[in-house]
Amino acid sequence: MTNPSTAPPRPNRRLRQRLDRLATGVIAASGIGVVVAVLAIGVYLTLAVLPLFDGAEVDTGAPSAADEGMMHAVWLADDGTRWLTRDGHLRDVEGEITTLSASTTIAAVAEAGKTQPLALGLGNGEVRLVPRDDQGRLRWTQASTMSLFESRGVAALTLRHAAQGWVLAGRDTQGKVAALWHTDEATRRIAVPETAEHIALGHAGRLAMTQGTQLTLWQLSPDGGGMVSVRTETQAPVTALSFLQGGRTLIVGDAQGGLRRWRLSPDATGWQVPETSYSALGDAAIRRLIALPQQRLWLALDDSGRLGLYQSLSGQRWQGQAPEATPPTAVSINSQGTQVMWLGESGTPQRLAIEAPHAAVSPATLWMPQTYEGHSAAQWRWAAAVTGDEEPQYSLVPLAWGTLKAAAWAMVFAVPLALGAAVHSACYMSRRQRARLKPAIELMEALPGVVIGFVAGFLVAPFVERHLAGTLALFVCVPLGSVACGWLWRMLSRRWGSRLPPIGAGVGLMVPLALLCWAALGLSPWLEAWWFGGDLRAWMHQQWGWDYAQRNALIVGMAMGLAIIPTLYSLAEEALSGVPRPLAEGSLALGATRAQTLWRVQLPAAAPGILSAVMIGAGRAVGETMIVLMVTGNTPLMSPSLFEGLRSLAANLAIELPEAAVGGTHYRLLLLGALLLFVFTFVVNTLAEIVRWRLKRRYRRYGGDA
Amino acid sequence: MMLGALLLPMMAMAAPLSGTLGSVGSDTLGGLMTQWGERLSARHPEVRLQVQASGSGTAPPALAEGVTRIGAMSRPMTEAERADFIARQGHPPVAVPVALDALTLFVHRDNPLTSLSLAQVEALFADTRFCGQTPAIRRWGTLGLDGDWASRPVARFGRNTASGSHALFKREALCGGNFRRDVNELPGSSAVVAAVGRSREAIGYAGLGYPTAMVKVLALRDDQGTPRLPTLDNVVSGRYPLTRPLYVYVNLAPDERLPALERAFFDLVLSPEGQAVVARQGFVPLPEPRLAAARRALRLPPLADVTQSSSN
Repeated sequence: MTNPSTAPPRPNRRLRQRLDRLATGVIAASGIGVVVAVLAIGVYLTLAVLPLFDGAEVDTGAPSAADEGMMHAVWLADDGTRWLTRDGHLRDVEGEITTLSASTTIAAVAEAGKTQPLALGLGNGEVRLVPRDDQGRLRWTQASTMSLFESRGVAALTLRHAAQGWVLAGRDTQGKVAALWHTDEATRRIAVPETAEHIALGHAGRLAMTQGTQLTLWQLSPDGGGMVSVRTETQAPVTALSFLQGGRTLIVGDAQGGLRRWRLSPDATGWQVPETSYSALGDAAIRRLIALPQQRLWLALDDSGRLGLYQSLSGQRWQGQAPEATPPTAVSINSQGTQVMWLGESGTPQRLAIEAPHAAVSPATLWMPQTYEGHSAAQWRWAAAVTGDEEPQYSLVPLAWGTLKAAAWAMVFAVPLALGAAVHSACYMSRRQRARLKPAIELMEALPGVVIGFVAGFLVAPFVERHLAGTLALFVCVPLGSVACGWLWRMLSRRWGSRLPPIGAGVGLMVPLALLCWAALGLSPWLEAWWFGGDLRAWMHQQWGWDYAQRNALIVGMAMGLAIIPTLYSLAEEALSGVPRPLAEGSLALGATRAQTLWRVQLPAAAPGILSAVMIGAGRAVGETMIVLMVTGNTPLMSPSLFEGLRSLAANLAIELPEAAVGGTHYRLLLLGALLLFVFTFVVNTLAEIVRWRLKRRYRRYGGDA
Repeated sequence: MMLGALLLPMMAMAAPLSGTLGSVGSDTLGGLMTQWGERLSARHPEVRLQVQASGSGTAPPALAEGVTRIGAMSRPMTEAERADFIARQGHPPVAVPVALDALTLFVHRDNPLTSLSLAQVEALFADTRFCGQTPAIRRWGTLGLDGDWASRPVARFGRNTASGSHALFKREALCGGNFRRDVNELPGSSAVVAAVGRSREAIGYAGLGYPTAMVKVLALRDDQGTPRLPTLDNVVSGRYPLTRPLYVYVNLAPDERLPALERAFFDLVLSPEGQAVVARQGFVPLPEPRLAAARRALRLPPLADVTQSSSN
């Protein structure tokens, strides 16, 4: 210790003041830094999520002067550099490359991606097929010719990939329909005895045809046969028809401007009923439907030149004017479906840039049940599309449900245990015992979630599966047994007092409890045989239709309950032990029992603190990742059952974020999940803090130390 | 060391190869990549291979962003992933097949079932019926098991969506349909095997190299009804239905030569030594012609030279 009078006072004091100011500054900066960091996370997440809800846009670029009026074509390559004229010349800007059909005109064109040939329907009833090589380039010189119609020319063609090859269907100038099914072995012609105005080929040889208001679905087969699957009536005469990517969703446009979605039923022999209608462009007849290759997007053009961009599930995304009011003679689309070249009668190509990267997302697709392809009923489903060919199923409802379910069951386990322990240690234990117990429970917090998850997922879950009846018996026996043992101990100690072994009640409880556990587990097979026909799980299934999954909410509840007990305990204990002593002492002095004091004085006084402990515990349970990830099977189900699995938002992030393409719909949706978690925990923790702060102020008024 | 010096005399003489090579991607390929990394360090003591194996889906973004030059994938890139790569790097990635794998279906070792048809696989795992029309199978009895097994429910385990196994299974076994929502999705093939090994009623799928003694691998019945186990012969010949090549994608511009580190890596992987690792890990080595083609595509010296120089 230095004597202040001997040391030179001035510089020292100045130094101390300076240090003090520095410390104040550093502390303030750190505090502000934390707030800024938290806000920055929130802002970052919000900014990453916002583009999901941007409107879609279809931009018509200015046509380049060089191309003006030059291209009169029936087909256009997807990069727009080559085109095919009606009279069969393949050209580029330089001039003619080759001639495909010298004798007759090309009346119809059909394409089906980069693996299938290009089909040209000719005016003499033949079809010319231009094959592709491994890279998807067309081999013009190797084109072959097949006969589709005997006497009349081809008026419309549709082509789709099918088992071991492709299927092609055509309509002649008088509406007669015929098809070709090509496999590795043979190409067979299928006569379809129908007349149709519009035709479209779907998945696996499903051929949709319309004549007036009649919609017919045929099933073609590779051996050259075919039959009617179903005939239905539409509301107005059909004027346009197109299957979307995947061939399981048919879009029907009618003479009154109506746009409807018909989906193949799960067995693909008929339609899902009822069909869904989209908001119309206007009341003019729909002229053209153009399916885009990604995200189940499509364009609709009506007679008055209105153009609309739609998504199969989220509906209309954009509406505007088409570059030309008349239907295009040729359209080419790049493989991502972002660039459409539109070639009309004028011969000037128009480039449409389709900016709808997140068109599959709308509030309805996120939160409302949807009827997805291949399903018969509307469901909430989360299944990220692995390849572009699948219909994305982006509903956040099962994930939110799973998060809340896991947290709720964890609370069911943790709240009674943690609050019981907190009450006991704050109000009943001696100061010395408490000093030992509290750090021990709080040490549990240091247990990594991975460890708890591993033990619960790989040891507890299989054990519970084998001994379900025993485990359930434990849940009944242990609490009741503890109460009974406590009561018994009290009776015994009152009667025999000094003759009991000198151990605390806690230790005295251990032995009977262990015996009880052993008895519950050991007797449960007998119990199961006696009451539940030997198999509790089979019995549950028969009686209530409950399925038992090995990785289920019960195990998550136990494991995550264990993980949040320390938080809950330590906050609740703090609140209870902070209740000013004079309150409890006054109550006891007035003749109240300990239980009465607890119920009437201490618990009500600490209630806000306990509430905030529960809220913070819930916040932790909602954000907990590793345990849920390892213990549940990550099954995005919507069942409330204790015995079925779930998938939480946090676990979903951990599983799927690494694979998601940065900036894509999937990625942004995962961040939307993160934002939801962030907002939830932020709100809950802030509320809890406010409650705690007010409680502390109240304690201080009563003269407490907290 | 000695072998390395013999194999690559020029490189060994010029300067000892050194550096760290990073790889991001498939969990199925994780074990293989690690083993190759060890061999690579044995050949070139200054070279390390850092392997991050969290699923095939992680490779394309990492490659496209230039985080890594090598990405292991147990499925080919999708059109969208390829397009994204081209958009950012300006040229397509090069896919190098490095081994053959098959998806195996397995059950608990006590389960008496021995084989399944593909239609039954769909009925077990899918919510949709894009391949066949077999009604959903919920009890083992439906698959012909009797006694105790008849009434036992089926528990399903599989990989998470980031994995190539998930994608391939979805495409080949479910015909592009949707998984049932109660298929447990676990991050990691060994986690699937462990979970099935611990649950008597479970069925799961994973790569060829993973099944342990705790589970029983099922044969798949082909069109003629002949059960085919995923054996070496059946996989190479393609008679086992769920067969796939495993790839290592490399970021390589068309007019560029492989940098020395990558060159050393692929030279090892596409050599008899590297392919021996494949066999030891329980996968199927590439057949001779495919190996030669892969070496040609990367402009590596033909294998005959390598075997000659190593036998010197």
